Amino acid sequence: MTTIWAGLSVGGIYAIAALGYNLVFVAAGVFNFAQAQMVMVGTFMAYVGAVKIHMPLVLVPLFAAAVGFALGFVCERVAIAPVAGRGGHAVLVTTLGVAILLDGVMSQIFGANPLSVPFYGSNQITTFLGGRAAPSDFTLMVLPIVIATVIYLFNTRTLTGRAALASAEDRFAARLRGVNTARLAWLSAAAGGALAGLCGVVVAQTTYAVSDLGDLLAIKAFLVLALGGFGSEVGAVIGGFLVGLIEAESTRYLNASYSDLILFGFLLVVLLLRPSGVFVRHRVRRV
Amino acid sequence: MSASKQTSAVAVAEGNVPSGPVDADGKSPFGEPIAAFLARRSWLFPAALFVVICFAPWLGLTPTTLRVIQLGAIFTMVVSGVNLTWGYAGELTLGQIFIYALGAYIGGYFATHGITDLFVGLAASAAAGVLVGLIVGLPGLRVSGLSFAMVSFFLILLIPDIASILPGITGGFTGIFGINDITVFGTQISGNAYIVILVVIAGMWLLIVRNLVTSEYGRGFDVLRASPVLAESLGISVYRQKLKAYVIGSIPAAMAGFMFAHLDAFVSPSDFVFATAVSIIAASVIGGNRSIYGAVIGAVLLQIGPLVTSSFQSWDLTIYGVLVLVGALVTTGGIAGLATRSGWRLMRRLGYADTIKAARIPRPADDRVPASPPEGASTLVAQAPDPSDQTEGFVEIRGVSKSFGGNNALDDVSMSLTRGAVTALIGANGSGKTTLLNILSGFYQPNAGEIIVDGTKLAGRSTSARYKLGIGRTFQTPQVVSEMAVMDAVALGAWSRDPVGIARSVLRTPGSRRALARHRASARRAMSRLGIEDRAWEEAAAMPLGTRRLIEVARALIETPRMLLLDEPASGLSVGERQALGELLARLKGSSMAVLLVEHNVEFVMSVADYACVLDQGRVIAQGTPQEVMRDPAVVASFTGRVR
Repeated sequence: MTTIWAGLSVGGIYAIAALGYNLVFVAAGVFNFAQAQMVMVGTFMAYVGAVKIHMPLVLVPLFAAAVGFALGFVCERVAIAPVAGRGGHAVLVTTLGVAILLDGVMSQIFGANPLSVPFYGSNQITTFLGGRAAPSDFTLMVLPIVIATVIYLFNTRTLTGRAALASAEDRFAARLRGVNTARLAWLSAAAGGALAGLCGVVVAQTTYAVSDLGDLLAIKAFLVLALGGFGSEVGAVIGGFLVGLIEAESTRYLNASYSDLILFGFLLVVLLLRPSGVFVRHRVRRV
Repeated sequence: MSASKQTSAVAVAEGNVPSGPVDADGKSPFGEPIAAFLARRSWLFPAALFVVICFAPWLGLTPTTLRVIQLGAIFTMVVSGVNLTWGYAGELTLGQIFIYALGAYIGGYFATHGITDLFVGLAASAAAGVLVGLIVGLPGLRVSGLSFAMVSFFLILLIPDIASILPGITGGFTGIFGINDITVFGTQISGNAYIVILVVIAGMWLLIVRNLVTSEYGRGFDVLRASPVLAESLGISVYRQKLKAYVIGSIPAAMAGFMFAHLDAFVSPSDFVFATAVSIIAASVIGGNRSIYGAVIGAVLLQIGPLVTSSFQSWDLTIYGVLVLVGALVTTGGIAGLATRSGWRLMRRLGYADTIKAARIPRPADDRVPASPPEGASTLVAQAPDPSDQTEGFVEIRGVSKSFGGNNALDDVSMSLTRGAVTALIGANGSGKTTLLNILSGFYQPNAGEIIVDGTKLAGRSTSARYKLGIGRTFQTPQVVSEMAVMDAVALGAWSRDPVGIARSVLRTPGSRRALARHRASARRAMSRLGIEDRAWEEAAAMPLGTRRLIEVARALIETPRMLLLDEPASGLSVGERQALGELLARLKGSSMAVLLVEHNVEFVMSVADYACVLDQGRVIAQGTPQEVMRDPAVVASFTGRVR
């Protein structure tokens, strides 16, 4: 049971990262590679806020979210908008550039060693249903479900959300119907950044603040999306937990070195058999 | 006939050579011939540079410079493989370093286990590269785009894991020390000899890439990158072509790794970290990923940085990030693209641009009609119309239905096409004409019904397979690849039914040259039928709409399809062009193909079609001769919008 809790909490992190990618993918139709790096930046902002400048703990998530919002906005303006519509993986390459840049800058500022970030709640390991886990682990299990629900409700209940769904279906038609797709693009990138920053504070409890977290999360989030299907909130949550469980179980029964290899094999099999995702019902049209 | 074609071809080529003033702006009288000579033999420049670098060890260079040359040669091979997959085949690969690491570990393992022979090592690492290419590419390239980039990115993550799982082979985290020198025919190779061999291997690889991407095979890459739909409709399987590019691109990465193992006689996981993986991508972006020699520029530049400044190490990721971001934002085609463009600008200013362009046009001899047409080559269009040749029911479309969501685009459509006749498919917008064409050429699968062409059922066959069966088509929006001459754009139609494999393309065998000449000769014939022959060496994508339509028709006709699908070929054509098209269609009567013509222009249909079929909201409402159909009350109602 302890392994399952560990798997679910790690999976929660992956699901959070995947939901961030989904958010931008649905509203703007792009895969913003740097999305996972914003979570990484969020962990450092949690460190800065809580440890360096001793911010009131309530303000730390807001601070991290604000930084994420700004980063997401800048990233969209600098790296995504100028190359929108250009072929040859232009957006993927420019956002990869941003990701590498963030990686480099953060490791330059904070060093390569992981920095511990204290959690507000107790660090007391508790036993729940026969498995042992820290309170932050349980937060990580619940958080993606909350986020997915919020995104789902937002997308189906609000006008902006519906516009995002419409533009995922057909950007050109959405624009003809008066949807401001340019605004939607930067807004979703900034919202994705804010979400990543906010979650970075929680993630940091488990992963610590470390600069290469983003690259790892980018891979795992992609794996989750390949499983769950791009654009599907439910798929991202289930996929995230599944990937976390596979990782935790293979680490326990084999060795940590094998877990990524097994996940990679898993990914290849999924792509071979169900290239559009295992849990996906309808596919977001690639325009 | 071919003799007269020859003369006109000469005239065309000579007509394109500007006989402008030579000394008007003080140019040397020798300038023009020299420029023409060099333009025709542009390979002389890289070849000369290659020879110089081969002698680098004896030029009194500093050890740092020699190191840049060695690492530059190694990474040229890696980056060049990335360029082949990304720049040419259009699939971004981020994890080439995995294959490079694999080659390096093979080098280390072999050398510490008594196998030092260069050729054995290169062959083994190449084989390993191909294997990994297949394992990753087969699933990874199933879905185009993002998927493959991320799958290949995953590979970077796996290097330290695999290194620690197999400590007996990889030496774990400490790596492999004391790697022996390689041997060639039993002779130990070290120092200067090693440098020369390394440079020669990299040079040979670049030659292979050059021959591949400039061949007809390589033009297939341009097609699938520009329009996967067009590639499939021309018989090029996008998946297979991309897979081949990735597998081929893996070979130099593995070989480069093998050579790297012998550079410092030491291999460890620290050679294959994230920063190195990223530097390869940066080199590809900066050098120019759609360029043969861009790999050299990128690889060398990225090696100079770390060696010149010692503080580079701590800033490496930041610098690579900026290079990738700015390189992708600002430049198209990296430094190589920039150099090419400014080279042309310079040549224009000096007045040599036209000379160079003209000199680069293949001489007429290059598309000489072979004395005897080889078997399988087209005898296109030439036969005299012979109505007795017409075979009814050559193409049978039976009960085809197709719905998108709840919308019935086609509802139980049955019709048959006669061989040697033109059948027009007419109907209002949204009546399902293009949907039917897309089902015939295999882009959509019908929900019900079957299609039989000359006794062969089409169900389950891919678009590219259908092309090889003899189903050619044109598109409503002409699909013409940019930066391609009209001649080559038309000749594309000939390639997949008379293909030249990778090996023969790279080696430029006499057979491959003959095939090229054959394809160009057929292209020239098809172009002359449509009156666009004098445009042969101009850029296809820059042509007006009408000419682009005719290019498509010529491309579809070139290999005498069994069924020719024309999607509104006459729209946007000038009067003269329409006349040429009409005459061509008239000549197709009695030929060996069934023609299905989708057209809005009723006058044009009446003048060229033998039969007509009218679609209304996905249903066939009338069939017969054009005259019969036009008198049909249901058709009149459909066209005038009257309620029946």
